[in-house]
Amino acid sequence: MDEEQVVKFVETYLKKKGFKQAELAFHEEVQKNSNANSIKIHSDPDLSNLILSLSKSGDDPGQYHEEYGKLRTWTFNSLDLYKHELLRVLYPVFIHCYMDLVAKGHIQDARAFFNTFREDHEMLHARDLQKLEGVLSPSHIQLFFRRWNLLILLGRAKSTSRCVRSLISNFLSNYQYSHELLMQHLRKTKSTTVLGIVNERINFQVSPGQPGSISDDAEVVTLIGTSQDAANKINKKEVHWGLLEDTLEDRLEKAGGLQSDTEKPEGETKDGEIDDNKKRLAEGGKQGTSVKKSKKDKPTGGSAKARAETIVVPAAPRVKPELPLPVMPAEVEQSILEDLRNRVQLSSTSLPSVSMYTFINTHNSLNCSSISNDGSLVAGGFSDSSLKVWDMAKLGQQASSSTPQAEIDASVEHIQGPNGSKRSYTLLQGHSGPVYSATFSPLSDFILSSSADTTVRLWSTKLNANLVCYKGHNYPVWDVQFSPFGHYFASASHDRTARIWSMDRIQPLRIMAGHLSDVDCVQWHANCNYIATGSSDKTVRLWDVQSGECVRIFIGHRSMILSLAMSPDGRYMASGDEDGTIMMWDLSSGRCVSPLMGHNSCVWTLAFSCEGSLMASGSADSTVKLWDVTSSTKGTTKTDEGKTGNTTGKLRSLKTLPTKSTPVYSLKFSRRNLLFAAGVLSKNV
Amino acid sequence: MSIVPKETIEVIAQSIGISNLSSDAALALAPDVEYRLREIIQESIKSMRHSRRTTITADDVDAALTLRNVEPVYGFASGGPLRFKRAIGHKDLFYIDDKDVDFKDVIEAPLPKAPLDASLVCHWLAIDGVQPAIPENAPLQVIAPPSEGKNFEPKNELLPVDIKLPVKHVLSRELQLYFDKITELTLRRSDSPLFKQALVSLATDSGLHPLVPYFICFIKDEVSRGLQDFSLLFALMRVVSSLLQNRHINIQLYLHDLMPSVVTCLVARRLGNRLADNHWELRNYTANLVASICKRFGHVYNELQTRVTKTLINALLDPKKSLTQHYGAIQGLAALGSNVVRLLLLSNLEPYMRLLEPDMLLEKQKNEMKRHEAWRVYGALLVNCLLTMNDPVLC
Repeated sequence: MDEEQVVKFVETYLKKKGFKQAELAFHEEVQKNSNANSIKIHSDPDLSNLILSLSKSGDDPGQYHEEYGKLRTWTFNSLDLYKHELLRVLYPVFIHCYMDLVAKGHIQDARAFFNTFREDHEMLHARDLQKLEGVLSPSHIQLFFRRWNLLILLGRAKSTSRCVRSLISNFLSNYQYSHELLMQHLRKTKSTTVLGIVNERINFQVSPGQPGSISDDAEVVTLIGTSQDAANKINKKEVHWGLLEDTLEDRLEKAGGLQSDTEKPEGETKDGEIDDNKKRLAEGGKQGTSVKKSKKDKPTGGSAKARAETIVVPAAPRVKPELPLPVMPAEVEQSILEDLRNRVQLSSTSLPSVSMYTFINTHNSLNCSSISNDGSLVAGGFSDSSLKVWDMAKLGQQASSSTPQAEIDASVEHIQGPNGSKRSYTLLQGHSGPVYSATFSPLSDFILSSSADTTVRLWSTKLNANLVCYKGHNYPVWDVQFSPFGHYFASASHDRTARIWSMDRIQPLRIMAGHLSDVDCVQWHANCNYIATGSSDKTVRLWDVQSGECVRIFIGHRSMILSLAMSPDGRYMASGDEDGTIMMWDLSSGRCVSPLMGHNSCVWTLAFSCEGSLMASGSADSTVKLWDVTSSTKGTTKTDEGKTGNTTGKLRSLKTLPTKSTPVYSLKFSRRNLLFAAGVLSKNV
Repeated sequence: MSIVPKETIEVIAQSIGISNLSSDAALALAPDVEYRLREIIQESIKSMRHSRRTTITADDVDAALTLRNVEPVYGFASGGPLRFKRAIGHKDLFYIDDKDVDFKDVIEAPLPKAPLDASLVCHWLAIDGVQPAIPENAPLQVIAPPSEGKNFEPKNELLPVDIKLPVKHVLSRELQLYFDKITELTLRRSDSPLFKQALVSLATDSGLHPLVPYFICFIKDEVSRGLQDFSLLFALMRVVSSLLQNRHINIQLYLHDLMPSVVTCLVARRLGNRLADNHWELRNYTANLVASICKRFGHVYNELQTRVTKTLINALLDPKKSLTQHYGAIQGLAALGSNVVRLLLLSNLEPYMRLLEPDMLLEKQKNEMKRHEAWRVYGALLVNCLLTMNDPVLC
């Protein structure tokens, strides 16, 4: 390459960038040194061509089209061994090309480019493409990333679109050879624009070795806000997923195992709650008869259950609660123990009974429903800001006899409607916007509801009145959930935060910020030390309640997360999304155990059975599906001690229960493993 | 470029009182309008999802607008679906038909019925994993009848051939369907591969026994009616053959009905109405069929074979019968075994040859067709007699 060429490059470059003074200075410099051949440059013809094309490549919009097309055909024709890896590069390159075109103002070309190649990505990224399609002017790009966070968070970078886009780096792990292949190809075909994109904005994690199989890296393409490294780092933090010490199940087991009247020994002292202990001892005296009774039917039920539990329970390590937990009243505890004794053991061969609550005449205004632990109370949140609570026990009474009802009506005026006609439900009014979520406290004495009016309200089911209004969120509160032990609750909102509250404070205790879009659902871990949140940014995060830190990011969903459930042994979490995919996650490793395909519409609700062997899912496609959990977890509990999850097991769909055009809004397993389902009869589904 | 055309922007501008909007401005606004629209709809989708719906409503759009601190669009919350009307004179302009309502009418109108209040009903969706068949549950899916290969096609056309089935006992729907399909295939498309599968099905499937009388009746009717139709006859004989092969069918009860039809196909004067029809082949096929029937059921019905041979020998020795009939008789007799050939054919060979010889000679028999037939018969005789004479067991 001779000197003249170099001078030309530099000139064109300076001209292009508009550095006039520098250009003049350069000219002078060149004229001065005209006879001295002092400039040494590389003599690689390839490189010179490359530089030449670089200096030429200006605002030619056709170039993007052409080069991307070339890359695409090359990728599709590549060897199968490398193909799926190379294919992964296409999507980010596609997005960047489109954004570049838009940013440079070639709107028409951008559209043409988009429409030509969108089909390739339609299957995996349909929703993103829909959002992206609307971006039609440079100013939109900035807006787009501030609002939608399609690809990744760019939260803090707002200055210019250029700056914003430079942050869009995509994280792809590629194996060395595939990566080299790609680079070689790009250089050979002189696809400078694409090469620029790949070099500048796409961040490869090149790892040596053979290309992986297609299946094991489904999550890699997902784009997240923080870098993949950060996500990996977060996922390396330790999660104590074990159950709390001394749970009721343990007590039951002990009672069953010891078979003695002095059944409240060692374990109690750990609590250090002497009051509680005393109470229980007194209770123990009273309950002497019932204990004897229960001994009689032990051979039939109790021992078998205890045995079954010994299979499941020891797998879970024990942890201490990090929150001061409320004390459970003794009589409640007794009733729970009674429930546990009578629990039906579920497995793939013995499926649960399902009781279906169907809302009728809601005129499309029911937004959510919730079922109390024992299934006797059902709450519905309506878009007319009201919360209605049905007492199923009373509903039965009304049907059988109407006269004694008058006395009850007199005591509870809420049942009486304004015009004297009887209502079958308790009407709770207080919100000023659609109610999006409701949850019962574990003892069914409180209800929490969240609404578009940005508040969460606490209602008493005994007084039928509003007790507290929790203000804190700035946007609609999508979801609220009581903790498994009551007193604490978590809320999720459009303001991209999840918050932890306690019933006795009107300010939140913790604010979990980090999601890149709306937090759509929230769920407590069985041991109360963690909460999980699902978001429109297609990730699920696990947060430490005590520290407020994010301890896990689960990447893999392809659309908005709608429902979450935690397994009772605390080890697994299930999440359901808008497309009907359910994913089962291992909390300790942060990996997906297995994706469950089956539903073809939104999964509104998920529930684990009490001993964790089955999972139920309810969907907008008007079905309840039962899934076998043990088939996948068996391998892990045997090898145990397990950070090394045996992820080969696939969850089986055991049964599909279709409803009569009733999308299933909520599911709940009672303590005795009866499954309750609730939904709205809708004619036009 | 943008899905919102420039003209729309101009119309909107006019409607809010901006009459002098330049076309450049409209062009620049169009993509932005599209972007904002998409944004609002995306936000509405969130609201829709949290209301547990799968269709977007005006409320959702209002909610999205509120989130953006934009005044909601009032007046679209209730009522039926909005209908757009095309503006007269404009190709791409639509508007919502918004009628003027007289206040008086509204006030004087009787109050509408109060909508029913929301309520909750309870039922068992499943008991121990099994769905009870109650009206509240979705109807159980009907188990599809076991398909016979791919014989069944979804089309459900009626048979053109009117078969009056004297249905005295209940025939299941599946069997009726099966019968209809088989008969249709036999009548219409006996050359299709589907028919071959049907034959296999007939020969192997169990549970066809209730259909046997119908099949026999069908064959009887069709043979008597369709002697002109060579392919039909052949198809019918194949059906018979398949039925005979089926081990699950006790066909001997119906032999008395079946035999006449089969023998007809062997010794009928004319089978098919075209020269091209290879009725010789049909006769050969039927001959074997008859022989197999006699072999299989001969010990049950003593007089079965004697009656068959009697019929055949009568046909053979009757000089008035045509040569084709003679051929069928010869083949039928030959198929019954060397014993029959020796006893009946060889003994009658001499008088019969005398009868046949004139027809074979060119100068005596002018009819080319007749001569051909005669040679055919001669060939059959020759082959069979030679075979019998060479049989070491008998000679």
